Amino acid sequence: MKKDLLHIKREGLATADDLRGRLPDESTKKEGPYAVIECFEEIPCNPCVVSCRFDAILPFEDINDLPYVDFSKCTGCAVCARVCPGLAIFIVDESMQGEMGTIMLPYEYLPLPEKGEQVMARSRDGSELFPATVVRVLKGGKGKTALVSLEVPKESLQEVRAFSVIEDESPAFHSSETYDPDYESPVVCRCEGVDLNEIRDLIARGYKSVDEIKHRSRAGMGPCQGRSCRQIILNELARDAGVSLDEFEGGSFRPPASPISMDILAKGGEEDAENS
Amino acid sequence: MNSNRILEHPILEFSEGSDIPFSFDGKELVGKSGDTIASALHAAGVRVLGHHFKTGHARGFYCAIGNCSSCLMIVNGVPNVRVCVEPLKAGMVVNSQNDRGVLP
Repeated sequence: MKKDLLHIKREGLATADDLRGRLPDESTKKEGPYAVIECFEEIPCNPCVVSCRFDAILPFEDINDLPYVDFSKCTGCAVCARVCPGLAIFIVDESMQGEMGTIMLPYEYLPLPEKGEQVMARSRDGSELFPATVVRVLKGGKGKTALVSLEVPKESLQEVRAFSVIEDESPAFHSSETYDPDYESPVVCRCEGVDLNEIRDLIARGYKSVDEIKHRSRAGMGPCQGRSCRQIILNELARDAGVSLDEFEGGSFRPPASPISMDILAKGGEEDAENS
Repeated sequence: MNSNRILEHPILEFSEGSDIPFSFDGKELVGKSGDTIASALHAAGVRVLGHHFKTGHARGFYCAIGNCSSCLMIVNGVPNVRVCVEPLKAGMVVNSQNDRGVLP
């Protein structure tokens, strides 16, 4: 991973620095809609490049490359925004006369808002900006993401990155109402039935590594082999020590990657044969 | 019976599967083709798949990808089957598991 992207992994928010090179120049902005790709995930993912019929996303040398748009070729057709699994592509149009432009946002919730509806525009960090009007809805389905266009003042087009439906009543369910931390401690290890209080108690008593906690509490020794609890225990240890997670050893981790029966280990054979 | 089944989804589409009968703790239930055991139970309204052998806490459908071992059940007499990733087959006998499991 490039070092300049590390802070996004920690904080989850792109800064103006990170967004450099993601926007067209001022004259191109006025020519028509364009795609803004706010993708910082260097992972093997390329639907945007493959789906673009205009070769407007610079070709990858490696499948882990980040996508960058060639704005001289981008038509703002939104095909890439429909297939981006990370919902990281937005179609901005500020080519029209007047104060208002539009931004098309991916939306993977139901129900979809309707054309003309007022929704709450939100920023990258999810905070409320202002109510905006839905001007177009492209339905999702068959593996494609729904897209919703909002009418937004041109000066806010690079601020709005999400929206929420404005509800008449607040949702009936709030997790804080049903969860009482004094009453019960969250489960950390589901296999061995170890809760967070027990882990914190062990840390307070001087057990300062994943393996020590594992040997005392059995957390991580059940059928899932620590896949659910290891990261939580690491977080607790790092918080206690006041250091970054990267500085902690993850403890011993041994195969098999997935639980299989001893019968198969002993005799060999295929897992599927077991239950057929 | 299938009132808890997801029929409308923002991105995916599901085709209507054929019926697959199975039993859960002696009750006769019906899943759909393509179901895992856990998805068929969830659709049938079953939320408690067993109880933890040590704490006695109810265990349910949790990670749904075969990672967490919260959904271990006894299937056709075999204990510790991760029902969230085990495809449902006609006539399966599924039972709640409340202990570490006894090998057949």
